[in-house]
Amino acid sequence: MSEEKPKKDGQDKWEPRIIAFLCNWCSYAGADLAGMSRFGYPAPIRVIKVPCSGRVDPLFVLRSFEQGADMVLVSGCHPGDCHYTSGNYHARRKLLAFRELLTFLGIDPRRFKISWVSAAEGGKWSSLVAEVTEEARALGPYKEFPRSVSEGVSDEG
Amino acid sequence: MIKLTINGNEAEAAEGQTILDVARELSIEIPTLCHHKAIPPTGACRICVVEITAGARPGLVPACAYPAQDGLEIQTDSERVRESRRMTLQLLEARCPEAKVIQEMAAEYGALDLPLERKDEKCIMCGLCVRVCKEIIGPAATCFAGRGPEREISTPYKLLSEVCIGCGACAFVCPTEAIDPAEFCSIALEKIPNEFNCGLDSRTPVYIPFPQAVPNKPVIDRENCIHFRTGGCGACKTVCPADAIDYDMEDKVVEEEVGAIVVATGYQLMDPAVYEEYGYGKYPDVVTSMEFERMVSASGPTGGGLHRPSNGELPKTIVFLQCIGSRQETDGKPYCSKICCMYTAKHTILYKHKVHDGQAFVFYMDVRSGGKNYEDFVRRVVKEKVATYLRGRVSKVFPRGGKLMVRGADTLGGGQVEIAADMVVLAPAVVPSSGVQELAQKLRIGYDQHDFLLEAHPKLRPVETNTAGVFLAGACHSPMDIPESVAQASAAASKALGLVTHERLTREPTIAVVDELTCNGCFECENVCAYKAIERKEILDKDGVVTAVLAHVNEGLCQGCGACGVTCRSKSLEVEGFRDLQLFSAISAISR
Repeated sequence: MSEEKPKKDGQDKWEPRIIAFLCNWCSYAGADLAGMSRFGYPAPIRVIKVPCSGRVDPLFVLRSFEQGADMVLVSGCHPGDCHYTSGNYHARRKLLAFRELLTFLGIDPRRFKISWVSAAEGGKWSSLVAEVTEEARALGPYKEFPRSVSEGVSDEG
Repeated sequence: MIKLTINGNEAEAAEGQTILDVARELSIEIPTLCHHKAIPPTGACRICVVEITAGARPGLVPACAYPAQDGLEIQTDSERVRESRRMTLQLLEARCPEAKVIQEMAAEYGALDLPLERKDEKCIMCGLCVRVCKEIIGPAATCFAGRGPEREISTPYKLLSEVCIGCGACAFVCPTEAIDPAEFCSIALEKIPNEFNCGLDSRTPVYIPFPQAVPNKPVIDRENCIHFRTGGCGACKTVCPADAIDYDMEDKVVEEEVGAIVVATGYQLMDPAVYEEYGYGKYPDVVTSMEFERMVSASGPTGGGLHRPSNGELPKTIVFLQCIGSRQETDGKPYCSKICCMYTAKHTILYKHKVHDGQAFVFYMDVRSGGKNYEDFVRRVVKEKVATYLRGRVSKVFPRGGKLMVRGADTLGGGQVEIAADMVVLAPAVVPSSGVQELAQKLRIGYDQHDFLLEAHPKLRPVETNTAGVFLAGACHSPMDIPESVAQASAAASKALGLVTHERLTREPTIAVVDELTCNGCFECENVCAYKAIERKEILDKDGVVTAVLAHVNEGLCQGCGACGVTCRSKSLEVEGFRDLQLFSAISAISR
């Protein structure tokens, strides 16, 4: 599935850590299709499956940054194509508003991405990951986010 | 009960019945011109005379007006009766040589031989039109005017009537087609287009929608019905033997609780008038395939006779144009309408049945005859030279010398062709029925950019939708022909049965649950739920008093999308398998 072997931190080359939340019906299936179609894409992406992009709580994004993510990506069905009729519309409204608040929270908004990938778009998924990874590499390791803010909150939420 | 004898048959009659009524019940035919079931009789035309031989004063009486009496003995076809009718018809024939019905009747009674100068009237002065206008419709717009030879049907002072409502009842009841309502009033007579026949003919305001309608019963078109427009008429109520007409009936909203819904809203054809080059709507001889279908149908407006709409002649050359709007990404629908190739092949065969020496041409892009034995059918049409197939598109249809010139490309033969056609039949793109968007939103099911309804999975769940309990059948899903629609409908029916015949409903367990300890009953979740799965649950104390109203998830409706959980401010709603805690753990694990 990958062109490059994942590299551990501290080894010869730094690689970003990208966490992606994919909806079960479109983007996850699209990523699956990319694999089945032998489209390669960079390894640093780490996927978490959710039923719908509407299930993505802004807290998940914050927790990801807190846990050391350099980039967070949320991807769902194209507007109008939601398996649950309207979940991606909820996601779009909520996450776009949330992105506006990122600066206020002290998070670089360039590190939060939203996209729409359908189950048939394996190629798009592959190129999206390449693009996002390239951006994350260019931005470098994300150290500015004050870990101290999130300290004291346990893993168990 | 009144007992009488007609032509030796004993019959019973009710009070108020006429001899004609009783005879018709016995299936004894008595000819008449001026009688109409809904209009009180006057016995004007004297064609319905019958002979009383016993039981009353013997002699000839009009059957339509003479009441049935006890002990009457009647002959409806005796020599005396025939002689009387013959004489009446001789005189009517001399007056109205142009009336078809008089000619036919006169021929039957040998009454065509009166050595008199023929007049050129059509009206037989029966007065049916005057009576229907006054006694049934109400306005009394027409009357008899003049005396003796000057007598005629007219409006008062022979002026255009101001009270006429333009219903056309006078023309409808006239036995000899002598009435032109335009002579009486300036209101244009509205013809109600017959929807089932694509408006090729007209229908009455009370009508059976189409021959195989279920239930096969008439409906009243309120907008056009004279009774609803003026309060008059009521003719249908008068003639209905079952007394089934009820003008006070209202539309009812019927509420039913159901376990499954099958959507089968079908399709309609795109309006081909948007492509001006084909001249649909501009030249009457350019018709759609649906109109052609009605024209050649035995139950259609022409009774199966194929005529050019412009002049009624037999179309000797006919051109079928395929893909009008289908497979046209730029200015039409990008998809293939799938049914046109096959029905056009059928139409060419039907055309040959009607016009043996006619020539049919088909302009096509590709012949797509996928289906059992479909290719054989098309091959037959081509091989037996039922139609000449030309691969190419038509650029223009234009009139020249009473013909329609069809200019197109023949890409296989090479070059441009021009065909002088009598008729052009277009095969417009199949599109979903109008209003399907509204329905889909009501049912909470998806639809694509062309408004075809979305299945849950294109291969594995083709008749199910993403909303549990809603199934698709037929062309609402995509263009499809009859065998496919039947297969899909059968599948949808068995899916629906599989759902509703079990005692318990089997569902995915990954649905939302409410933590009743923390839910504060704000019902923000209700707003985001696309499935209306959030219910209001009353929490009772031990005395049965409602202490709180909390959210509750209907397990049958919830699809587990999780939108409610994100919206919930007290974090009281979680989707099983995708709880916050589980996802936070996933984030931590994946970040190591």
